[in-house]
Amino acid sequence: MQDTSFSPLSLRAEELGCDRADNPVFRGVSFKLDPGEALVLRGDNGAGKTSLLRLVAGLLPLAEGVLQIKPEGADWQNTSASGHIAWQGHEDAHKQALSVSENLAFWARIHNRKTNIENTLERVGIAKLYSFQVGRLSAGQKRRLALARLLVQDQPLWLMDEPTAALDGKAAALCEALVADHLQAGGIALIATHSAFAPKGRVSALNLVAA
Amino acid sequence: MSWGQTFWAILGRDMRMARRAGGGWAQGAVFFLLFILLAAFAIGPETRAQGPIAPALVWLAAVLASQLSLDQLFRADLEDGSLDILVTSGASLSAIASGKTAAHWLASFAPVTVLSPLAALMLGAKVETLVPLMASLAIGGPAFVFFGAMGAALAAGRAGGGLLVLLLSGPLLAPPLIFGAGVIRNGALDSPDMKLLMASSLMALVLSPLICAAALRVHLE
Repeated sequence: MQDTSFSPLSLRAEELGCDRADNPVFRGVSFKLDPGEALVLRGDNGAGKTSLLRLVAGLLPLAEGVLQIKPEGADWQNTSASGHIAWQGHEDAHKQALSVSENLAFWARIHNRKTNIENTLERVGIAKLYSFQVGRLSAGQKRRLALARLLVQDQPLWLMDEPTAALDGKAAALCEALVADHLQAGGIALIATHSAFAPKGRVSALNLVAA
Repeated sequence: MSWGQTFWAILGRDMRMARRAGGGWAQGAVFFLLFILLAAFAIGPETRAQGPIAPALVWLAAVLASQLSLDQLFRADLEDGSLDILVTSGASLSAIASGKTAAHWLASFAPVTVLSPLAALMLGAKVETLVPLMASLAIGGPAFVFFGAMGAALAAGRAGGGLLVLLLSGPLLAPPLIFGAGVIRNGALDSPDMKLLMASSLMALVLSPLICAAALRVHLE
């Protein structure tokens, strides 16, 4: 288990609508996540899974609906969840010229977290690559490093876009285990996936349909 | 995460990347020296001996060197997803933009400033012009890099942004270039031109982060 220091967060979405280039992507998406809960987003290509993640992340403007967060001990508020998010997108966002540990140290610094990077790398099975330059890693190792970043960021809300892409069976199982641990620790997660991604815990599914 | 913490984290990371092989910190300095060397050949020894053209050419070379590879300033972070993570982490976009621009200034324009007296001597400049030259480059440098960054942020999401950067920031670069050349003509460090040059840099330092932040916000959508 990873040591965590984030404070729990609840997330509520009501009748969300998203537009791209003035065309509706989806309409009427509602869900609620309390600490320890995850939502797996499914749907065809173009159904708006990535758009929904970007909407929740505050990277896209809301076309309609209400998006609220509730930090522990506070009331529901209409502010963006940014500052509580660990984001894992399609791209790995690693800097090729820096080493594995330098990449993680940067994100720990951005999130103001003191993390034991060696332990984190051990957890995702790439401890030997500590001082390797990221440019020399394989695609799968880079995905594992991206998983390590989620742990380093140590935030309550994980937003993951196709987390198991480019992962072998073992790594996919690791990814599920990390999400399960995160939920266990009181975190929440929103996961867009095509594969049979089934972490243990209170996980529900939402099927997105294009508007 | 405060503004300052984000700024220093980004500045530190980008400086580290610039120092690595292929980081490109030497690009500006090499271009600068090459420009000066070719200019020295083109002008020829007779004209060179007259001197007054040398500091102006050094200034021109420095300005062009500062714009070199500037169009790449925000592109990598935008394309590799780093900017998504930075923004969702709650980091301020203006702090990110300032940190990146400051790192570019230190990594690629500071070496040019340091090399400028050597370059001026190669062109036959008089020794008494060297101090005003270096001082004006040190004070005017932020204007070029920070105004240039505005163009880089606007062009970051577009293919072939290089020319666009120059077209966008070109008009903003003209005034500080004129003031900088004026400082050298007067040869005095407390001339009005020096104050105007300083004002240009201060304006760029304030305006650039705000405009870069707005432009990057649009690219994220």
